[in-house]
Amino acid sequence: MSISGLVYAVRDITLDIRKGEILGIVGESGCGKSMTAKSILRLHDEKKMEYGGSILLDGEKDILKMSKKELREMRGRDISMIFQDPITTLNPLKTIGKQILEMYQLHTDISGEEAQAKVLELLDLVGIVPAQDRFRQYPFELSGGQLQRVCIAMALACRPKLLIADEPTTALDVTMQAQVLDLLKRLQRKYNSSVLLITHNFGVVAEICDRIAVMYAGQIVESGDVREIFYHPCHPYTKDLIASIPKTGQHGTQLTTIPGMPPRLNQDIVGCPYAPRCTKVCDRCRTEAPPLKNAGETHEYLCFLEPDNSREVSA
Amino acid sequence: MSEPLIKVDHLKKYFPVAKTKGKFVKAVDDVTFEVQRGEIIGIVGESGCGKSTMGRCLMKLIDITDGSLYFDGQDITHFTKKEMDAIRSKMQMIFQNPFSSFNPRHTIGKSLMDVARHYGQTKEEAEKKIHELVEEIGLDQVVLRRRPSELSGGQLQRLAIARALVAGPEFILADEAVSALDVSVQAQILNMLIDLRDKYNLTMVFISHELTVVEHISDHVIVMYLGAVVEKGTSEELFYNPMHPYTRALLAAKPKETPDDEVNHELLTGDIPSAMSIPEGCRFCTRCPQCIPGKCDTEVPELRHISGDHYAACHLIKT
Repeated sequence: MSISGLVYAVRDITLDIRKGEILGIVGESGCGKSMTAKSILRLHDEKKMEYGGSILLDGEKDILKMSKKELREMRGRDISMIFQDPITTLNPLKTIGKQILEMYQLHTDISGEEAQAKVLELLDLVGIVPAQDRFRQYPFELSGGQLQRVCIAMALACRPKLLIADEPTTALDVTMQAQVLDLLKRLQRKYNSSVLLITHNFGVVAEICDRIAVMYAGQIVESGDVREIFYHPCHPYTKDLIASIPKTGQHGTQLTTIPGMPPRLNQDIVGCPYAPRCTKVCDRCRTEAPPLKNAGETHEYLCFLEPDNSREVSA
Repeated sequence: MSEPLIKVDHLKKYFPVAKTKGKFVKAVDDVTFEVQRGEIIGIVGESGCGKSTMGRCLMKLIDITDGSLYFDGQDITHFTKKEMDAIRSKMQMIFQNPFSSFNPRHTIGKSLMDVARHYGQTKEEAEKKIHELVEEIGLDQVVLRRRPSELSGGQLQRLAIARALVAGPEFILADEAVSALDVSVQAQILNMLIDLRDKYNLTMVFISHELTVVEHISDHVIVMYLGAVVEKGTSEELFYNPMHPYTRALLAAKPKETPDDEVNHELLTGDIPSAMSIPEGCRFCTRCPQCIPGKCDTEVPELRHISGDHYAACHLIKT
């Protein structure tokens, strides 16, 4: 059952990330979350794939039209990224200090001493103390939570306009997760950066995001203000996802489940991609692509159902 | 109360540190608890707290350094591999990653059949049983002809559960069995585990670092920190009336469920210390916000009875 032919990993999505906001992208594995994030930095092997559309930075520069040199300069300076597993992100043979220092050497022309002072300041800021000693340590000497904080320091070294965080706390314990999220939020406020946070954990979204986009089968099926999505989800997929999370004080109850699997992305999808798994499916869903509807100023979703109707059902 | 299915008595598991004589990693240090029949016990704690080592000791996958382990009233602490083999059919395990727990070159049918045959079932018996179980877990019989690479994580984890049930066990150890799955699939597996427990009267130990999942599925919960039990009690007592500062800190670190939840994140600072150099006195004293100098860093707190089945190891608790 190997996948052959063209895989449409991300299908026609429109997304804007505003200045100084934290936007969360949620969805099941294989729905295109990471693909979207990596596309923004053009991290895919372009011999093996094609892009279409445009990705505008600051509303003017199209990332998809940048030359290799422009890309190199943009990555890390304007947009930087942190990944799920900090241990594989960092170079095991270089001290953490040197690795952060590289950011300044590549993207700024400040002197060596100045850069070093900045690195120490950053380490201090992310709580990797005593910074002087930590500077000279190698990744294996630090724990996963500490390394993730080093990655955050590195990503924010040049005060990027956008920070993409792809499942930054998935590999961490709850206690470390809480520390890292707290740090991310503090630094985001301090530098007024925008953050695109990719996660499958609704708790993480509730914790720090301002807006959410829910992805399914390469599309954004619902997006809006974090409270709107949590308290008044309109798309059946969002509702089902939220209902399937175990909640405090519901010991031993039956959880809502979503039958079936997300569609394979190498096939043409006719109608709504969620139709085969949706409990509110009607004939139209199987043949016609659902329209984008508004359920409030900041709230959009892709479904035939009317917002009021679905709001009642959710209550 | 009837006799517990599993009894763990002052169990210790020390790993010697290479090159340093007399130095040990105390992965599990003096743990005592019981698992009643038909009960699901959750073990929670941060990585490195010894919960997985505890699990491996329960299954006797590794030798026990000291203390004893009873299964069904039998002392199995010093059972040999051969003796264990005879009772293994009664104790089975489900792992975190379903992809690496199946042989990639065997069809699922063969993987399941091998287990049944190993425990002495005839081919006809085994086929019937496997057929029933596949139906039970809600999959189509064609999956038996598939290889692991052709199936999704959720399907495979269900099959891993079916495989654990082929032998007809009384006890199942689930080590982070839902941690690698999406929430929608996680919900399916959790529902299924609860249903199967009721149907086959299974006893389970459920190891996880996810607190809400543990609360959802477990009747009793054990909180471990650096190899020792710091608090244990019924799910309700533990989550609504946590007594140990570590349990409280763990609960406080849990992300909000909805954006307007009021949670008081009292963040724990620092990392879990190395199990090679466990702090003197209370193990948690280096990170505890309520540490009493002179007492907590010198005296080891015992597990104290609070109420009912609720115990905690902390000097702050007055009995």
